[in-house]
Amino acid sequence: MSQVLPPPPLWRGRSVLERPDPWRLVPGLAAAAAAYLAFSPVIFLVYGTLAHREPGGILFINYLRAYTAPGAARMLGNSLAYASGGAVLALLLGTVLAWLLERTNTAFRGGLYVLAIVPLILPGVLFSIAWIFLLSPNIGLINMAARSLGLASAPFNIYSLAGMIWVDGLHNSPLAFLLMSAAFRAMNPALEESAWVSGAGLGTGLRRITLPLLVPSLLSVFLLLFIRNLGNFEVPALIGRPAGIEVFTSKIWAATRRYPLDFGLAGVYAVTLLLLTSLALFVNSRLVRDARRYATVTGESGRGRVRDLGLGRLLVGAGVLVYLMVIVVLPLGVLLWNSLLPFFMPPSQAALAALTLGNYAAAFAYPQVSRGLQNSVLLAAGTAVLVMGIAASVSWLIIRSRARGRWLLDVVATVPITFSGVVIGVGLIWTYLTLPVPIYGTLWILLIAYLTRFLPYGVRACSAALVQIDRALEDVGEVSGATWGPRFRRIVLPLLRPALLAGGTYILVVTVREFSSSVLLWGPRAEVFSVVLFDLWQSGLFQQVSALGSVLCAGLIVLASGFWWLSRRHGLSPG
Amino acid sequence: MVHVEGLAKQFRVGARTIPAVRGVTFSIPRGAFFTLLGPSGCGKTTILRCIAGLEQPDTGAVWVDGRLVYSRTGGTAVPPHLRDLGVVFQSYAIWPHMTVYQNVAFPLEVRHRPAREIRQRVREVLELVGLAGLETRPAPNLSGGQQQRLALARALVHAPKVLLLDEPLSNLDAKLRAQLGRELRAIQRRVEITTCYVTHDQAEALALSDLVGVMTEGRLVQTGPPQEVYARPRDPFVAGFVGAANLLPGVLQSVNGLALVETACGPLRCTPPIGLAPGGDVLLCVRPEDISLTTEPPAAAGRNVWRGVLEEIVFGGESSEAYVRVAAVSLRVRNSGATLPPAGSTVYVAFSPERCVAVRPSALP
Repeated sequence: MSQVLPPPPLWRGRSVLERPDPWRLVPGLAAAAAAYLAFSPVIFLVYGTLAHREPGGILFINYLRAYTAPGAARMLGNSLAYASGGAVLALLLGTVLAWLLERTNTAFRGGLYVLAIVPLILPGVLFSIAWIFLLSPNIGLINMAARSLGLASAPFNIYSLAGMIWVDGLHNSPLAFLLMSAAFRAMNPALEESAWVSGAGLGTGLRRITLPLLVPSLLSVFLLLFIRNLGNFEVPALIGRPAGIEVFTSKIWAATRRYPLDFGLAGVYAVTLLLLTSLALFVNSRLVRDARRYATVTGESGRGRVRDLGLGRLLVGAGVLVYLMVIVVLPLGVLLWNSLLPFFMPPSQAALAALTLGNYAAAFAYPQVSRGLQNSVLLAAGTAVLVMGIAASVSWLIIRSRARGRWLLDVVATVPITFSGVVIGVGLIWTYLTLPVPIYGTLWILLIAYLTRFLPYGVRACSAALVQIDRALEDVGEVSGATWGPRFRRIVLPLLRPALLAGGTYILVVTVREFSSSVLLWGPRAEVFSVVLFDLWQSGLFQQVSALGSVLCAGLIVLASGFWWLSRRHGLSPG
Repeated sequence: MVHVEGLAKQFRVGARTIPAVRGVTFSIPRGAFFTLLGPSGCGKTTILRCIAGLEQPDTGAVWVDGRLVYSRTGGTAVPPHLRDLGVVFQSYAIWPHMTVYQNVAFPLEVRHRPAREIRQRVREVLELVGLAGLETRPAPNLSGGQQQRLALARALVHAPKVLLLDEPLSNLDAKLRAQLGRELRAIQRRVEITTCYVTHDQAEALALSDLVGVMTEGRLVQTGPPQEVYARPRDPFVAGFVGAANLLPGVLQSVNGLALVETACGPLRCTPPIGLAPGGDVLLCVRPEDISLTTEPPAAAGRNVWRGVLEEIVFGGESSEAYVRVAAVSLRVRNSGATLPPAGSTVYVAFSPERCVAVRPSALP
């Protein structure tokens, strides 16, 4: 097939017209940064656990040592019991709440919906502390109230596996609620309505249609909560350790704190945690694929109306309100109450007379408090800006470019989701003790930890927004003669602005709250606020911790309201 | 039978209330195929959901098979699972976690029928809808048409008193739609079930129904057999929505056997309107296919004949449409077969008075 092509016209000469564009390097650099962040901690973590041994020792000596250590089996059992117990409780509460708010006409639904999301904002450290104030056998307000009613001994003991599961389940129930609400919304209500008109009453319909249809979603949400709990360190640190209940995260932390430091042991437990998490996520991805097979033709979706509870709607609404009081108002209230008292007192005339703001003054007088606050704000701002910047470029490469290996970049951007905070912490310790970069114990290593942890969320927010933006808008820019740099700066970024703002605010909130990486990586003069709170708590400064906690909660609620307002205004969904 | 009396329903959207149904009354005789026809948002699906019990009307009453199932004032509200109905939803709502057999057996199982009877009845009804042999197939592995048949089988298996269908054909392609529509009608005749069918497709409604109720903006504006609704619209909305129509404003002059109406194109004779007095404004409705078009003046022979200018011809395959200007009015004429003169020619249009109906300009207050 010999075809004579016309000679290329002279004016197509690209090198003549197009100036070199340094901006063209940006996506490449961002991709490289994302890849480095995702892979360096894992590589050095695995390398460290294998290489760190006595000369001549066997390759897997650290693994052998860790798995045969006394208490290793009990620790594994505790971890699984805590993680699954908390997940089941959260799933139960969240699913019932989601059904009531999505499928019935429970009273005050609008207000309850907003209230139900608030606990997501509260840091785990403070939520755990608040419940210690309520359910500790000695100082817990609820136990004190029970004893004043004549009970001989305290009825509740938070320092137990049940206590850990209770606090964790309550704290995660809003997340379960959000995810299950989404599952209900994705399910065509006509499926349930047709069971109803076929002759099935409420119970039969729920048992034979609603629940079986929700099974893939329930399993998937359970696994996500399970993974979160495995990596959770707040509850094990504050409740588990005093009770002598060790789990993966607390074992890892202990190994990096005691003398002699045992990074080998910490590394092995971190690798094990990573493997468990990856396995759960793999199973989850299969489940999600199965769930998609369940999708049916939907006509007018969202047309489904709610089930009329009659007068019961007021009763159920009141019940939900009480539950939300328990998970929102009670913890916040007890923190605030304690912050205003010189020492523990149950509410009484005398206590009211003793109210003082002294704890606030005293707490902020500690130098590490103001330093921690400053560091946290600085790190949060830096993380938010860098994450969203890298995320915008990386998302553009994944969604828009035709570069080979885009799928690899997608993987790179998702992999860190499997890393819990503790795994990132140990991984980075190994990385920067091995590499000749002296940032261990400084704010820089914290910044890297936060970037690694939260980049996937940024990429997800940007990708979702970018998919919505018509590619032709950029093509027009190209046809008009703009090179990549101006196109990205003057077309893509402004269009992404709502997503960047909302995503950035979300990153601010989660960075300020971050605890499980920070507690492994902080150093002298490089404290962050959540770690300072934990430190003061361990020193027994309970009233001052309450004061600082109240301030932090107020700040986070303001930030989260900003996020909510931004998302609403730009019609984005949170998450 | 089904009887709906003074049914009204409002929806709240934020702070606003939107009236979906504004006082509708109708009866479906036993064994009849009744269609609620109207554009989307006219309230027809809301009425269907009120009959099913999935929605509670604000006012009014509903009887199913002689039993009062809903009455606001009487405080009666029978829940859907006790109304003994079959419903086919627009999305079919086939349960994806069950097989074909399990889907169909469900209504019998929740009624605790003996296993023998369930097996036999499911087989019968699957045969009826043409799905015999697919019992063990997982429900999501069915085509659109098969899902529609399955939904119908599930709605009929427990021999309900009334069958409700909410746009059951709208998710299918045109060819399948026509075929399944005919099958649906044949099955309905065979089991002689009282049926209420909801659609926005006027061709579907005319082809399938014993009775058609035309709805707009929450009101039922005309009910009658399809032929009557088409040939004798009593409302300009019905004339325009059911088939195409030329609508000409005029003033009713006199009624003497035929009615005489003065229009912008000249005087015209038409079928005498019901309940309209001379001197009042009327709207004349003439179907495009009832107007003949010639280049020579035709013999009047009692017909209305006007002279006009052929403005535009739109070729449409089996028939063409011509737009003829008479005075200030443009008339739409459907012309099958005969070749048309070029645009700009002087032509004559003619139609018989029997084919021309006068209606009140707007029946809606």
